[in-house]
Amino acid sequence: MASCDNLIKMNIERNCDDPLAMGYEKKGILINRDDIDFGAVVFDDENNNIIKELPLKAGKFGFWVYQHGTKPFNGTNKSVEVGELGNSVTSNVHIVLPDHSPALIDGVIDPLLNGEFVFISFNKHKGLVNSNGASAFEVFGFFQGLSISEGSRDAYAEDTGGGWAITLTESKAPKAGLFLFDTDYTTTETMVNSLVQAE
Amino acid sequence: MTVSEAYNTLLALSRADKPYSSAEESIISNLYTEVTGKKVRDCNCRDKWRDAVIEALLYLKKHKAMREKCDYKLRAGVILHISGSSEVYTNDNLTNEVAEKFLKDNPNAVGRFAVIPQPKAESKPKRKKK
Repeated sequence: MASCDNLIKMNIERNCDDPLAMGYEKKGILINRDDIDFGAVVFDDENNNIIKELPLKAGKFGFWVYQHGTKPFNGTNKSVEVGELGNSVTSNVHIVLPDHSPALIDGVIDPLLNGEFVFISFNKHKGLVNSNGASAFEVFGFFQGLSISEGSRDAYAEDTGGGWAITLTESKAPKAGLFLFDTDYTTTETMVNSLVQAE
Repeated sequence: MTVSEAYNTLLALSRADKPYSSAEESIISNLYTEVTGKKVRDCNCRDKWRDAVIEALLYLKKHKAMREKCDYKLRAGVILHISGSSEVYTNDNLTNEVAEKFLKDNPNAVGRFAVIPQPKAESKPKRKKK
C-alpha cells in the first residue's frame, strides 16, 4: 500500500528563470461535472497533479466563460482547511456575468444554483521556461465539484455593471492544485480548446 | 466549386469596402463551411463576416485545398497523437484516413471517438428472375 510521506522535495525560492506572473487570462472554461468521463481521465505518470487528458462524454462540451476588466476572475483563490484527520484545500472561483435576461437565467444562473461544475482557468503564469507550459491551465472542482457558495445581483453595482456575481466553491479537495498538461503549451492549448464545441 | 473559384470569390469579397448584403453573407456562410468545415460564428458581431472571409482565404492559401470532410468525430477534450509523428489531431484537422489508421493501430481507442461511421453494407448482386 502506498504511503503519503508528506515530505517536501524541492527548495523554496524565487524562480528567476521563470518568474511568477499574477492573475488569469480573460477566459476560462466551465464544464458540467456530470459530463466528464472520469473513467477515461489520464494522469501524468510522474506527477499526479497533472491531468494529461480530460475527455468529456460523447456529445458533451464545456462552455467558455469570458470576463472583462483588468482583473478577470478577481476573487478566485485557494485556502487550506485544517481538519481532524488531515488538511485539505478550498478553492473559490469568482465569475461576473455581465448580463441579466431570461436566457441567462435559464441557461446559466438556474443551473448554477444547484449543479456541480469543473472550471479550467487560463493562468497568466504559464511556466513556459521550466516546464513547457505545465502551469498554464488549472483544473478547479475535479475532486469535489464546484458548487455555488455565493451569488448576487445588484442592478447598480459598479463591479458587475448590473449583472451577476457568482462564487463557485470546491471544499475539502485533497490536493492543492491540478493542472491540465500534455507535452507542451501548444499541444495542451489545442486539447483545452477542444473541450468547447467549435462555433 | 473548385478551389480556384472559391479563392477568387473570397478575394473579391475581402476587397469590399461596405457592409455585406444578405446575399453576400449567405455566400460567405456557405463558402466558409465548404472551405474550413466550420460554421460562421453565431453572434451579432458585424465583423464575423469579414473574419470568416479572411480565415477562409488564409486556409486556402495555406492548404491549397478545401477542408477534407471527415466522418469521424473525436470526443471533447481528446486529441490524437500519432506515433512516429509530432502532428496532433483534433476535429479541426482529422481526416478519415488518419482516423482509420489510428483505430487500426489502436483498436481499443474506439472510446476516444464521439462518432465512428458505420461501415457501408456491401450491396448484394440482384438475382435474375427465371
